[in-house]
Amino acid sequence: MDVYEKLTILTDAAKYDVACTSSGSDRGGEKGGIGSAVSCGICHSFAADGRCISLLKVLMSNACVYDCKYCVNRRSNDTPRASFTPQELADLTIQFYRRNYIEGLFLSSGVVKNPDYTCEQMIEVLSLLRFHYRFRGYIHAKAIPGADSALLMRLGMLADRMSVNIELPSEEGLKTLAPNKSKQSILGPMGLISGRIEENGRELVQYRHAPRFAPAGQSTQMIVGATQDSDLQILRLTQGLYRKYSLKRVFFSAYVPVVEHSLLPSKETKPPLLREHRLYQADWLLRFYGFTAEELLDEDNPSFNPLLDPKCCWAVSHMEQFPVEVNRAPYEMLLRVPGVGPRSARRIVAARRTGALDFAGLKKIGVVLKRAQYFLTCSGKVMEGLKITQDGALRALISEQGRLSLPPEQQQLSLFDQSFVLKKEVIQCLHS
Amino acid sequence: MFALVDRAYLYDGSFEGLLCCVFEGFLRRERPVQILPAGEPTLYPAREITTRRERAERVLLGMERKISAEAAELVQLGFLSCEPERERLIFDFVCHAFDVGRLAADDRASDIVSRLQKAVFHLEHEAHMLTGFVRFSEQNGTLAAVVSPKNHALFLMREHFCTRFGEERFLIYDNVHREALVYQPYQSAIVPLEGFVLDAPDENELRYQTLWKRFYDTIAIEERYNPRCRMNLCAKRYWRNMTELKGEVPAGPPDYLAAYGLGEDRARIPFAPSEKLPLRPAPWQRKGIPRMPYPGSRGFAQRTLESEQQAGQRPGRIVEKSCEKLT
Repeated sequence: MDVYEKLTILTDAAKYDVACTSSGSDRGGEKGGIGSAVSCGICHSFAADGRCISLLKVLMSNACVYDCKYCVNRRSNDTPRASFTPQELADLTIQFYRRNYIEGLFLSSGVVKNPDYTCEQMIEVLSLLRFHYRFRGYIHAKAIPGADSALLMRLGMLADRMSVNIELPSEEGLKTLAPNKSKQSILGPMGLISGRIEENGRELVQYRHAPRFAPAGQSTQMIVGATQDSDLQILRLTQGLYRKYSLKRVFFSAYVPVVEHSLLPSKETKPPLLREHRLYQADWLLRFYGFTAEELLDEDNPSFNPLLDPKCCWAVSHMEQFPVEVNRAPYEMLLRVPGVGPRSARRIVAARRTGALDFAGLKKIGVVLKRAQYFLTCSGKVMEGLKITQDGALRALISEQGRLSLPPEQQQLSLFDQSFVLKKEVIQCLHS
Repeated sequence: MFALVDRAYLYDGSFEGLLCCVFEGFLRRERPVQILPAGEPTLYPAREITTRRERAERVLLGMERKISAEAAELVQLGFLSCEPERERLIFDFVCHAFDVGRLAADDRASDIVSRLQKAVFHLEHEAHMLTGFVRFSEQNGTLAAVVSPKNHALFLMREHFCTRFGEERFLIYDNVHREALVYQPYQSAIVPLEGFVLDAPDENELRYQTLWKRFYDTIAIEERYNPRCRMNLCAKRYWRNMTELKGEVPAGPPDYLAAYGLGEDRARIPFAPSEKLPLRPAPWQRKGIPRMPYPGSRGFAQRTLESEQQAGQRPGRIVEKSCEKLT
């Protein structure tokens, strides 16, 4: 089998892994070596599904001994199998990297023989890249659950980011769909890695040139829509992971039915893309906007509103906290206004030191007034000609498509709807 | 801000030249209607501004001392942007900045600052996207690529590629502005280049191109097909130079060439990017510069004129004024 076929099979097998970020590591070039890493990450291309391609995302091998029901590579599935040799994969990575096709390598693998053997194979590829080619680009390595901790530590010294996939958001889900994995076998390595990262932080304080362990941190991913778990459960789990294991990212992947099984949704179901989108929006609110999971969802509303994004949803149900005065509100409160993000909130805080802001100024700053106008005042004034009601705000915030599904707005006509014209004004008008 | 006068300033097309226009404006306490590279047609009475490096440095230094390093950088980046009237905008920004003071670069609610900030954002964003979208192909051991950016983005991509591919030899050709970034180990330069076309790929190169195309096609999940999202994130104007997407757009030069006066029958825009002026003079580089009054400092015009008279240089302002009275 040649590299072309192997690449096809092993890319196809890896494409359901979502994480493809190359951020978090900052490393310059080096004489005699190739590559560098940029802390903001770089997207090198965008696939036909709109997802960014920044790393060469492949499996080392798809000849897996496990039998997870949701997975295309499970051993009971009849699918072509292939494995890269470490030399082939390292060569492919370097040649793609030289042509600026990719930012680095994303290496995962099916479990070949046993977890330890698989992990050793991955270490061989990474060593070849780091020591033979002196590759300084980005490497994301999947920790193989069940592999020896010494091997995981070795892998982490070579990679920029490590990840362990949670796969399913609850233990029951794991029991029924992935019988070879358990909560313990997943959270074990995760705790190990986060502990080692913390320890490495202390080493770096003492010795500036101490070798770095997974400098871009660790991430995880879970499948949404394969089990009955609610958005609230998923979001709580996410928040817990950020707090307890100080993860850099939690990724969600809408379940795409690839196999027919009585325990799984039928093959005709569409992937729950909107739900995935809402979860990502909420994830951003947790990480950059200072929200907590309990604020966004509760036991009475355990799932997200399909028509409104989570931030608008929160704002509309907390109208008592609005409107916010642009020229005085603290940064944290500005962040909570729909239509204002971290970038425009920072700009507002900087710009209002030069003078009072008005709505025209806000527009130039980059605030999305279409949404924000219902929640802001500028020097005590609301947007001109705007009537703020909860219903009106709701209608404006809902997307164009969502609005069509609502009943048409009904309003009692009034003779005195317009503002009154005073007698004095009429006289003035006639005189002039 | 100074009063607008019906006059066009002509400069030599370099960044230092533009700063000299700013210097001249501050000296005469006037704001020209147009600032153009010499040779462009204008309907206004024109004044040619000679470029003097020392003056340019004083403007930049004044910006750094009186306003902020950020504002000085904004001016330098603004010059690389594709904003249609970028010279006027930069002039206005400097005037505005000396009015506002330290916080000028943050004053985004003002029209001038927000326009300049947007232009710079466009430039930086384009340069960032291009660091990912450049596609090299190997020709006799050298890596070569063609890009078609709207801004002079090569300047911002330079450091990234030079540190990343330290041991390679490469060339990135910008076919809109007709400049090339050339690099061989530990030396780089941005040079004007009239034309460059990639050779047909050889067997080895073709192999990796095919492999990459295969990877690209396989990685997409069919059930999630979303062309609109792809176009939002990777605009179609980049596609013509990308190995994996080249086939999906018509070949040929980008349609915005004409907007830059770069159609086939037109002459090249005179643009001499400054090679020597560093993007933010480091403290040790500033030390050598004598303390001269800079635009925005007290009595700038008066002191400058006096010192130039003492040095035996032609006093600019007084002679010009009497000339104006005569006409």
